[in-house]
Amino acid sequence: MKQDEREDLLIRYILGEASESEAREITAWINASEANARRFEQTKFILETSEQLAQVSPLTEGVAWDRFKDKRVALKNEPPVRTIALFNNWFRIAASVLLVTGAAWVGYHFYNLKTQNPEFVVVTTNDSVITKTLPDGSVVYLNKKSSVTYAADFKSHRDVKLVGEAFFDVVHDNAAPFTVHAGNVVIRDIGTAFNVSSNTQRIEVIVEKGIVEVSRKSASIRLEKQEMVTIKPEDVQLHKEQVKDLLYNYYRTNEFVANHTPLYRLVDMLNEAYHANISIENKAVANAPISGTFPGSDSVEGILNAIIESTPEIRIVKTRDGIVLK
Amino acid sequence: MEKEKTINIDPNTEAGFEYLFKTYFRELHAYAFSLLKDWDTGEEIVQALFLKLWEKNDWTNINTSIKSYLYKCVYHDSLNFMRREKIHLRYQALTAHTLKNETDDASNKLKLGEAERHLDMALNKLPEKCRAIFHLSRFEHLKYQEIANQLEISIKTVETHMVKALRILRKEMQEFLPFIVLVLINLWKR
Repeated sequence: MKQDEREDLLIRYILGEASESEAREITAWINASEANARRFEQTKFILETSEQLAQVSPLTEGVAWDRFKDKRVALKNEPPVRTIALFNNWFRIAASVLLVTGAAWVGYHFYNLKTQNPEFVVVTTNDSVITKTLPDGSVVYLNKKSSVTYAADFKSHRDVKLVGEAFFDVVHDNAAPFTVHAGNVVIRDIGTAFNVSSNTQRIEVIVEKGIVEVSRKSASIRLEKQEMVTIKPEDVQLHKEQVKDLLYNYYRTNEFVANHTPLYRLVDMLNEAYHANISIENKAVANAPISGTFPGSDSVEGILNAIIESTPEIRIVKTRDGIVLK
Repeated sequence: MEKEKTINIDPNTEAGFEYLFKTYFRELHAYAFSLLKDWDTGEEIVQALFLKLWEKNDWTNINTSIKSYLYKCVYHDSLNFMRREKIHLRYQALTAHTLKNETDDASNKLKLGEAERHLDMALNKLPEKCRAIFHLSRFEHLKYQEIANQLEISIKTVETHMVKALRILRKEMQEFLPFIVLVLINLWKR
């Protein structure tokens, strides 16, 4: 036996955790020489003596309980802010440590997914739009608060699960069809670029170039360039429409392109993009056609002002809950 | 844990909570002392733990036994405390504490022989994780597997720490061991 193994075994034997065969092995070893026997006795002495050194709390349960009750009363009367202030710095440090370890974990996770454990890669955005090139060369523009999941061995199974909104520019490959799953809708490309936007109320697919097949359950539809479909949960049939505007591109190009687009559609898009709360007070204004290209700005007000410039009859009124257009 | 009695109490009630507190306070206090070598700090940590549990009043997320959950909390809180105070691995400070404690419970220590007293000192020289594992093994009589579960480490790590502890203790006890062994071997050979 090697030195370390023997030590392990010796301790385990004394603690009563050795298996029968290990016990036989160690007793044979103890009996083999006086040095071994001494080693055994020393170890046994240390373990058994230390057992008697167990410290006993100098407090009785009763005293400790009384003190606990006092502390509990004190805690109740104390404004909680004080406690937090005391540990404030520690919270900050703890939070930053959490952040760093969290980020490290995510990094490690991704690394792991790609190398040792090739299962799925998850890309999630929060407050920014990112561009991700997939292993096959296809590019995904992922809008804010969205995520795509795909198998790490992507080249043979080009399946992507989407939550939220993304624009896909797909590298065509006859042998491996590219498929996007959004909710229960399946979008199969035939070499193309398309936008998929999904939320709980509807899933919208817009084709920019090429051909796409959209299906849900048994219903299926083929979309070509400049065609789109909007699917609501209750829809049985899928109906394609002409793409009316290029607004859907805003997060990829960072501009809002309107071409005789009704104002309400622009407003819907702005509300989504900026998490704003803009409403339109009357119908005539809602349907007012807007044309122009408006570069994305830091604030929704910036864009609104630009839009209004071309349509002077609209007024912007700020209210407590948001913005009203009249 | 097999040794633990099944307690049919509800810690959400005042009576249940008091029972829980009184059942475990002293052993948790001793565990905290093993780690911190200070009864007062140990008490603070255990009291703070119970306060937190009482405030939160939610035991549903504890999926191990309550006892091992409490031990785990005391272990982490003690280690965090040491890290905060940066006293870990400062043997000198620990020894100073021990000396103070020794005079404090002088009557308690008088019963111990020279070798035992020396071993007690040697135990303080173990690194904190070693100390925790040694405490659980020798004072709480937990099996390696139980210790591993409680500290969320592998059984192999538990064993490694025990071996390390023994190595340190043997080194510290060197001057006492030859004598002890002679006596024991003679007894044994008879």
